[in-house]
Amino acid sequence: MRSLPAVVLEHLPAVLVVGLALVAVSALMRRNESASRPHADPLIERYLAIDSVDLANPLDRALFRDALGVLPPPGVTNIDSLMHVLEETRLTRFTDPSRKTGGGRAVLTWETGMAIVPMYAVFLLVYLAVMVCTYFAARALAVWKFIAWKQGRASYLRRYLASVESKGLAGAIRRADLLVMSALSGIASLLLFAPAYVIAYSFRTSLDTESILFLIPLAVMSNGILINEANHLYTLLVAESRKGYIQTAIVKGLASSYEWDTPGGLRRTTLLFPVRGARGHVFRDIYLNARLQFIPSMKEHAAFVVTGIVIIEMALNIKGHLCYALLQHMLFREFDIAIAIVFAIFLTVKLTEACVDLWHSLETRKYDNAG
Amino acid sequence: MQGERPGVRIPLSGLLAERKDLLWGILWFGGLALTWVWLDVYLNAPARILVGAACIHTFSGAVAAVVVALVIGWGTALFLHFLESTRRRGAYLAVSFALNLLRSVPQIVGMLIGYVIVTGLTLNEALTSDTSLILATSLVTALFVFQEVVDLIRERIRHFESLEFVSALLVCGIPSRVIINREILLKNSMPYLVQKSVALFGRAIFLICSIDFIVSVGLSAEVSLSNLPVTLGSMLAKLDSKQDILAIGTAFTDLRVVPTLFVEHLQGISVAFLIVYTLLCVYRIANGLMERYRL
Repeated sequence: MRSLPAVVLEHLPAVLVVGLALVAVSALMRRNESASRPHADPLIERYLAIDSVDLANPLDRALFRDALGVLPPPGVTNIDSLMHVLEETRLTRFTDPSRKTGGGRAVLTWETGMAIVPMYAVFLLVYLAVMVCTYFAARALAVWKFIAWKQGRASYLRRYLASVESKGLAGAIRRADLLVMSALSGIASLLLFAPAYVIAYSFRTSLDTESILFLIPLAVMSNGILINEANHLYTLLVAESRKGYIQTAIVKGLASSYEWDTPGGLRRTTLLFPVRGARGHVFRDIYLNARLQFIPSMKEHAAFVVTGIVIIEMALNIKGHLCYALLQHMLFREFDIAIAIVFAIFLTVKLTEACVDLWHSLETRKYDNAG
Repeated sequence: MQGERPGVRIPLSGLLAERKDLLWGILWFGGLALTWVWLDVYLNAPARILVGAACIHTFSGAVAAVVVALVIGWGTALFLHFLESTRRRGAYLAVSFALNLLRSVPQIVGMLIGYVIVTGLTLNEALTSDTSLILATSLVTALFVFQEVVDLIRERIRHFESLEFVSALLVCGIPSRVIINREILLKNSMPYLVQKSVALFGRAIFLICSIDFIVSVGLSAEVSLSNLPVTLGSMLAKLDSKQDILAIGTAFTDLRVVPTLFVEHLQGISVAFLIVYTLLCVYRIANGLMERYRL
């Protein structure tokens, strides 16, 4: 069992190591950048700096060439080659992407760092909302799936096929509703597995896909995050329900019917409030024990949620958001700012991990006989 | 137990319940074949060839990522087990610390950094062929998913170590490495490893498609995507594919657009479908395996 200082002590070294490593990478990249930048020939730079000669003008260029022919610079034998290099250097000034950012590349300063803070605040807000929504939605989905499994309910398609096989064409026509439900369920499954950018581009012409109100539900529902989290809890519920103590509890007479709203059954509110809704029912114990094992996996889910949000913000080019800024800084090779953003994202995950560890520790304490 | 007996048991629907992995495997291949036939009829040849190449590159990249992840995961798990069993506490803690650190890096962020390195290597002409680029990106992908293999193998070893099985084999004079590799992993953990590989295949496809989509938005100013092997993600990011996907939104308000989606906007729609359908089928196959073997 871990206390707050123990949890901090566990995660702090990781933050320090990553922080130091990123500072080192930033310094290394800055050095490499300056080393890889082509150094201008002083002779060429001197000629390009002459104010009275506009080398973009063909007349000036011809006059300049004639002047060089009369007074050739020392060491230069081929005037045409020199003119060609001058022209190339002049064009590079306009076309080189590294010179296009205006005023050179931005570096990490107090100002650029503070510009990230509001974006980071929005990122945190979205992240928290997505984490909370995903947790509750996945819980409801897992409980629903588990109860449906206990009720022995077959899928819509299986029920439809069963109807066709037993009653033939009459069954096929009469239970067409099952086929429709099956198709809808298939579409819902496709939506849950679709990467966020596929869904967002599909809705882009009819919805404002850059608003936070769209971003949060999209991050919850897409990228398989919700379905994977729900499936993990469902697997734990199934494994827990097979354990001996549950069978003992059933034999001893604890309510164990999974029919909705019947005596000894479950109330429908169990989907939203599994502990309160299943009071006096064996499902309550199954859920509580499965949840205890589920809590640590929230750390992995946190990393997946961040992955989902990063994908959405980058793929949809949502300007003014943290991950879009990260992509832009990478594009313009402003690596120290990009690294600062990566560190901020890493901190978010680490903080979540520390919170999950604390939560798990508190939950474990409830069941610890020695404590 | 009530829940373990399906409500309806008849031959066809029985297949749906008992061999879900097989069923979804057939559905996946069937779906891909059907899509290819449809593309053959309605999509122009250059675009169709590009979609085919994108599929091959994506799937081969994902398979390579899974293989690399299995190898790295197996090696790391055995190394950790060796450190633990020989009581080299310092080294064990250091490796575990590094693994936990890697776990805390969101996969997409890690892959983005990896792609920056791959882009750098491409610019320096260290990576030139399609195969080397696919392998490099697969390695990057594998680095951020192999931990699941480590966890699985270590869990299996721990499980068997808690039984008398391992002690009995040790007493019989069988070396520890043979017990782990042959008896535990090969003979008693194959369904677990297959299920994990299938799940990782799905994860790798998702990550490869997503990162390629993002990179195509504009990570590299100097290396255009035409230099990198086309994948389903980069294919979807092409302007004409994006317009095809945007047409789905138009279909919500103008139903007359619906029939044209599958004929005129085929490139983007088919690529999006291939990604989503593959992810769904792979998830179902992995789930089916889990249910069949009660993993």
